[in-house]
Amino acid sequence: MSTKNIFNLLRRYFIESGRKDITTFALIVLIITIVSFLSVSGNISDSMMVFLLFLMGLLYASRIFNIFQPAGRAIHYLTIPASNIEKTIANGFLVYIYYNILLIVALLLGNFLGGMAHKLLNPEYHYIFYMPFSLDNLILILVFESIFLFGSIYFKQRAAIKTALVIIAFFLFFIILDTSLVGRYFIHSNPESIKEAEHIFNSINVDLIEYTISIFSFVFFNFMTWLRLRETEA
Amino acid sequence: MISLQNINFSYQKGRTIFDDLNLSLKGGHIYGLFGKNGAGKTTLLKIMAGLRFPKSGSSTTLGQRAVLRKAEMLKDLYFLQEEVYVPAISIRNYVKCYAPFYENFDNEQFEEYLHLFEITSMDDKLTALSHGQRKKVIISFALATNTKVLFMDEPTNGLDIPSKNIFRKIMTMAANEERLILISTHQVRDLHSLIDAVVILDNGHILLNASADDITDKLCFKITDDTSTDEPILYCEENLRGNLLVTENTHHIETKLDIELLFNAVMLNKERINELFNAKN
Repeated sequence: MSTKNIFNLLRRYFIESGRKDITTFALIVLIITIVSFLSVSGNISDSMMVFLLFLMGLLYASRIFNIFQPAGRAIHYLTIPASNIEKTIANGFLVYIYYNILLIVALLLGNFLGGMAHKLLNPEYHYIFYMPFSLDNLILILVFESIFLFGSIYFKQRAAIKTALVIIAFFLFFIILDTSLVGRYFIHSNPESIKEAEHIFNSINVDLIEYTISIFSFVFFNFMTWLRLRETEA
Repeated sequence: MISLQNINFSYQKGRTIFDDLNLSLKGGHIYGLFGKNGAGKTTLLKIMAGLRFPKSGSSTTLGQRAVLRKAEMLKDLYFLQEEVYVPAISIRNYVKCYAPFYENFDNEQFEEYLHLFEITSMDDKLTALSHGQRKKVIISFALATNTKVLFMDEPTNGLDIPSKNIFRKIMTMAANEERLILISTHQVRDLHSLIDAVVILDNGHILLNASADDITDKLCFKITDDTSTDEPILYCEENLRGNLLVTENTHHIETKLDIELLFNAVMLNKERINELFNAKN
């Protein structure tokens, strides 16, 4: 693996798409400034900020490979002299680090500017800087981005919608399975064993399980992306 | 430099494209790859570039398994598509983007080729150029990368008449003793003077893989008024100049290779050509 090739891939991206990203950044800042200014508190709610980061991050991840349209783009991309792992790492860097930082800065800056504008009109208003993005929701965003990154190389068209549908289908299946299993357990169990089960559930470190599943999913979907890129034909 | 062994390939719809195909190509040649429509010329180029995976058999390019598309292979290989893809950036930025991937890229060469093609501004956006102009830029770039292997799929399609002449000129400048250039084309007349080896593909097999010298050593290309000859005639075509003949060269007469006549002769005499050239198929 060559860091020079990864650097060249990133430079290629910034030359080709840097201007578009700056425009997107400016647009987000402007919109958030306006929304923040118009809101009564002069701040956008935490959940809205997280939702925007989540939504835009996923849309970006689902477009990062974007090599199948127009015709000839796949040949162009696949014959760039860098290995499949270098291409996966470069795109991973763009999705997980570059774009998330860009979005977070845009959201915070927009919120700050909106707050400042609000303060100009209402001198009594005190703007309080805050960080709405917790470690937990950042980890969740990274995991979902890794799934959409895989979707961007797996689906040739409309990767965002198709990936979202697959995730929804998976969760529906999981919920149905979970409900039926739990239902069966409670029907066929006596009160004592249910109490015992509750005790076991309460003693489980849920956070640890969540982090483990998140890390495993993140690694798994990045690995799948690399595998899929390896077997992509043009 | 390139070796294909026992390649079997078919698309999902089921039609077999290659059936136990073998081919070996060496550096220092400009090969012309010919075949009827749908014979699989572009697919063959893609297999050699690692863009299509054969069902069985091995494809080795520059000592690497093509399917792995390793950076070591790709940095010495350029695939010029028939319909070139260009990003929405200027020519100057295109060079900034892609030249660093090719160790032997020569900017002076690139500018010289552009100059010959009469493209003067490096600041023109690629997507704003006409199809022919885009192709000229990408041809210039492809040649300036100085990769050891260069695949060109219908390179003269979309070029105007003066540009085809310039194309031949810069191809001559860019060819060297190490470089393998493989041109897939139907435009035989455009590239006639460049090609020094011929590969003919038909029905999933290589019918012919021979150098121009080898071909003219074994076959004779003549224009005569009458068709009486003691040499076995492989192909005859009437036109205003007389009869165009392809015969076996039993008397070792030196003639000039005519690729179009050769192609027709090969298509009509597959077994005899195989015997003459001992082509593996």
